[in-house]
Amino acid sequence: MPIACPNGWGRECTDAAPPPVKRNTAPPGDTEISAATADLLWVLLALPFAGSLLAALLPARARNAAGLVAGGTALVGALLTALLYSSLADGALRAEIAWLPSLGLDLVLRLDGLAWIFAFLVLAIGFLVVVYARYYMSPEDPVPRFFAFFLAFMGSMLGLVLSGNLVQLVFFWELTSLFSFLLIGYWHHNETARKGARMALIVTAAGGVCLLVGVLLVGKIVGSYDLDEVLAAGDLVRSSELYLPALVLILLGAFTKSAQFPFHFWLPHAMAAPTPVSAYLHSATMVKAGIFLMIRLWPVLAGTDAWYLIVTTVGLATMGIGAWAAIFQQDLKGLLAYSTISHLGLITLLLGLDSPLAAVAAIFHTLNHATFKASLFMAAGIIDHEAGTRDLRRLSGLYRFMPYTATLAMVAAAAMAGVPLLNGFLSKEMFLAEALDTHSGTPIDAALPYLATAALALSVLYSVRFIHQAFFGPPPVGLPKQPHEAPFWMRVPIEVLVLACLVVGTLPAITVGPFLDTAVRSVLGSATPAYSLAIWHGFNRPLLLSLVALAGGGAGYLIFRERLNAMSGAPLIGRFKGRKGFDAVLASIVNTARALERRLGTVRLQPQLKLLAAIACLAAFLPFGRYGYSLGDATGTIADPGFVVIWLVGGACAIGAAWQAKYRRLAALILMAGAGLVSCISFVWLSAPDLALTQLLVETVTTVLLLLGLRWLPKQRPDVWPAGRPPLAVRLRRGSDLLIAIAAGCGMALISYAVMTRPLGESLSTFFLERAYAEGGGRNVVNVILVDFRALDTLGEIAVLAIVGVTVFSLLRRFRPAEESVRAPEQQLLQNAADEAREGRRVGDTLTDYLLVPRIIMEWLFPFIIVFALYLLVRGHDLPGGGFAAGVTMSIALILQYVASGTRSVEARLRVRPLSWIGVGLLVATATGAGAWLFGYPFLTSWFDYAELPLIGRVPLASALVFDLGVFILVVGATALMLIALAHQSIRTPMKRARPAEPS
Amino acid sequence: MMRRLVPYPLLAIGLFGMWLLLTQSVSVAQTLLGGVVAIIASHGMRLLRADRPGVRAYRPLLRLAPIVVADIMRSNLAVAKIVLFPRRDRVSSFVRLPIALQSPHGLTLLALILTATPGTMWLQFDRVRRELIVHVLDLVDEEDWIRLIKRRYEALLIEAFDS
Repeated sequence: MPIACPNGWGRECTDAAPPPVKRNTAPPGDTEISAATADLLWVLLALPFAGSLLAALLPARARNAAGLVAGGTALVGALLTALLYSSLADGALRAEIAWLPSLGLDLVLRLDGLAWIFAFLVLAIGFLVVVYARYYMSPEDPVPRFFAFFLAFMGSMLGLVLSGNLVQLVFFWELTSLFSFLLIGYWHHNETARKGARMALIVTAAGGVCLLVGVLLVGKIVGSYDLDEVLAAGDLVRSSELYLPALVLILLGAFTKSAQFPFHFWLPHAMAAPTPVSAYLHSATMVKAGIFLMIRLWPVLAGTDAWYLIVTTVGLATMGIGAWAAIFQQDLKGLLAYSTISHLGLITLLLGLDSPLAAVAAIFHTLNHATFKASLFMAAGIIDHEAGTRDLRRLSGLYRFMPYTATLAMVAAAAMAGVPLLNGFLSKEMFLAEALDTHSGTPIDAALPYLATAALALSVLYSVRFIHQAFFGPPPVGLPKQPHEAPFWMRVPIEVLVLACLVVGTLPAITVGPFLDTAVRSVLGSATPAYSLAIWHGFNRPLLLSLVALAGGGAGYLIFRERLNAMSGAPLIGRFKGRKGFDAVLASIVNTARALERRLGTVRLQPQLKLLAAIACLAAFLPFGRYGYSLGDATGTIADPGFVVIWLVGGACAIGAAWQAKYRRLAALILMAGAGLVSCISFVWLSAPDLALTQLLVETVTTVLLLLGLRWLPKQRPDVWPAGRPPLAVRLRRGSDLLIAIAAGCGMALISYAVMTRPLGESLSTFFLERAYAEGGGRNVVNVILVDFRALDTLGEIAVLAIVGVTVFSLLRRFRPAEESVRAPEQQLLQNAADEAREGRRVGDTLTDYLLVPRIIMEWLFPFIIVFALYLLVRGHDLPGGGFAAGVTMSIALILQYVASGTRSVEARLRVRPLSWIGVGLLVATATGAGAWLFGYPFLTSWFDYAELPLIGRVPLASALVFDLGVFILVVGATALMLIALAHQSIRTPMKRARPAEPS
Repeated sequence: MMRRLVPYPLLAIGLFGMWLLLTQSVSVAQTLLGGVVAIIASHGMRLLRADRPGVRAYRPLLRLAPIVVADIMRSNLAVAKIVLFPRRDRVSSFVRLPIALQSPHGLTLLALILTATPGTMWLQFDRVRRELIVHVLDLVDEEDWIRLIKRRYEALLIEAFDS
């Protein structure tokens, strides 16, 4: 049934539905077999990542072992892929794991003809490149790291082509960018490598973000991210309003990845990577990801004017600019990079032409390009390796030194130039045939045959230049190395690839034919056109153009050879330097960010805090502004006079602390502690012993730690204003601060009062109260919530605590006190002066004397506090206490020892290893949680029971207690770590600051 | 062997007693647990390598205990009287006390006794001059106080720690 086509020029609308898909839930009978086969896909995907992990764990010098791991992984993967081919006969293989089905995010692997061809390309060429790289890489390089990245990239690329879910595809897409970054920057001591890697990452990752948004749009249109469903919904997507934005975003992703104009500039810079990486990522696989995506989504996105205009134009421009720039390159790899850009442009152009035959040509040329370009890169690597330079002007006459490599390179270059009987010729013929065909009648269409022929002629020119300049002519002079033939195993991969070029070029129909056909059918489905892979189609116009290109290119080289060698950049486009534009854009982004930061940011805490408080205040006010403020109708109770007195004291303490904070920090601190104690008493009064206990302990530790920190605060000098009183700006600021403080405090009080005068609704606490003993086995509901119901929260919190501890420790290690805090504090100076003045005393006597008795008491308190801490820990499940309270108590015992005897004296006797405590605590807590898995329960399921022991009787046992033990150990460690970091400040010898020389 | 297992035996007994008091139970389970905890905590003390008190004789300490208990009760009553019925002519002042006791642990015990007894407060001890400054809430006769402290407490402490 012909369907009215919503798009352009009356092309018969091909309902390009993909072929039937074989799912895991296939009809009975072969279900089991196909499910098992489909599950092999997971193995295939996991294999390179496992190999990567293994290679990463090898020692840095294990060159052979890493090579074996990488080669073995790639080979097994390639064989596995080859085996899977037979099961593609009746549709795509599909394996899925439900992950977030409610959001349409499932892990889906899908192998159809196109994915198969790409997967095989990735693994087979990967294997060859591994063999090559083993001999290419220098023994001085940490080769296992190289192979680890390489295999991880291989896995990402496989994941990309096998993805059956668009979001998953984008994920692997980004992974390939990431590993490409790591591989380009492999020689990170080299600045070019670092810059190239960064540029490639920024360009491709920015494209990746666009792609993600585009894919999300497509998902929104179709209602699913599943590739099968998206492929079946082509008409829906093309007729959607969101089609154009989605198309542009997806194409941005594809163009950045496949180095299409104007994003092509990153590829030549990526040539700073080791040559095997260039051969693999930047010619055969990763840059083909954009092409793959365009082919994959061809049935969905192609077939509109927008597609035709954007893709054809970009492809044409890329093809032309790449070929033009390539002929002026003096660096072998630069030439190959630009030629890659040009060929990628050619494939893009084919895809843009929007005809099924062109799509066939695109897929075919992708394969051919991968084979001849990978082998050319490897040959370039051999030249670089054995001759010591890649500069075409210095190379000459290498044929007599490396005849094998020269011959292989010549065949590959001939394939690139499109010489008959080689694979490049076949896809080039198809391309020319398509170029001659009329598609849209636009000027682009009319000019296409000429532009195509010109680009191909340029391609012939640079191929000839590459070969002639490197291998022919007089023997080279002044090369860094004496050139000689490459080792056998370095040539084998090239031989295999060149053989492929030859065989496919001479016998296309029986070699690549069936595979190509499977791939084409998987994309085009019922719209697959009739095409012929024959070498000879008779004398026709494509052949004529092909011959023109060959002759033109050859003649061009003869005429311009010397002048090309003298050029240092490409004319016409030399002015447009992609890198300069990139740098300018990057610099402007960074500058804008800096300007914004200067304008909107501050390094001072006060404005930040003010802003925070003001915004919170405002946000809290908004709902009341809308719905009004009213009190509940609960009857008030008469305040207990005792309670009122306590609160008045607390309030006075708080206000006093704020009052004194600026110049009398010690007084402020003591007052703050007083306010804390009052809140502690309030908790007791209001029957919350648990909170009261924790508050008391935390208050103690906080006060001690703050006291320790006071020593290092720079001294505040009283303000002296010229006019005698503070200027208006200062008074305004202080006034507004006071207003914000009053508003925030009163607001809190009003909200609390409004809440407390209302009846408590149905809340979670009822649930916890009911279940705490029945299901958690504890009578202390707070503790049961902490270690059982919400153990995951607690686990997260203690992890945060550990991180905070370590952060405080590292920050304080780098702490440089203010200059006036470096010298001994005033109190010490006074004491020492007094000691010196008096008869019979030595400096430091006051200190030891006044602590003589307290020190003994504090030392003897140590074991008692330990007992108390353990008591709190053990009873925590049933009574106020628990791991946190016990841990803080235990750290108080340590703090007391530091206070009593001083840092040096304590550490000479007692070696606390806080980092080990933190680690052990985290481990115990996590292991307890993971222990539930052993019994088949989810993470952190707790268990409790009573054990009947002889003599002792019933003993409650709860796994939560062990979890709490972990909390205890970690809290001790983290608190002790902070304490020790602070304590060590006083025994550090500060570095003398460089002072400007004083005039004598 | 026993010393290595329980480095501070008397302390461990004290800790054990503390555990039983805290848990308010003498069940077999708590007794065992208390024993383990006491041993762990006394090992904490061993790690700290605190000086041993060096008690020479325990008998004087046993004699001291009832005296201290009685004094604490008496001075509680005395202080309650002072607080409830204030008199204008009451003098509270510092007393300088020459000290013959040498052992730091003995001094610590004296400090605890004086501080635990309401009405007197340990303020400062000068190690070179061997002089103690005590604050007395209701000072009638300075000599009287010095004699009282030296005779009632210090003599017994010297017997226990210094002899």
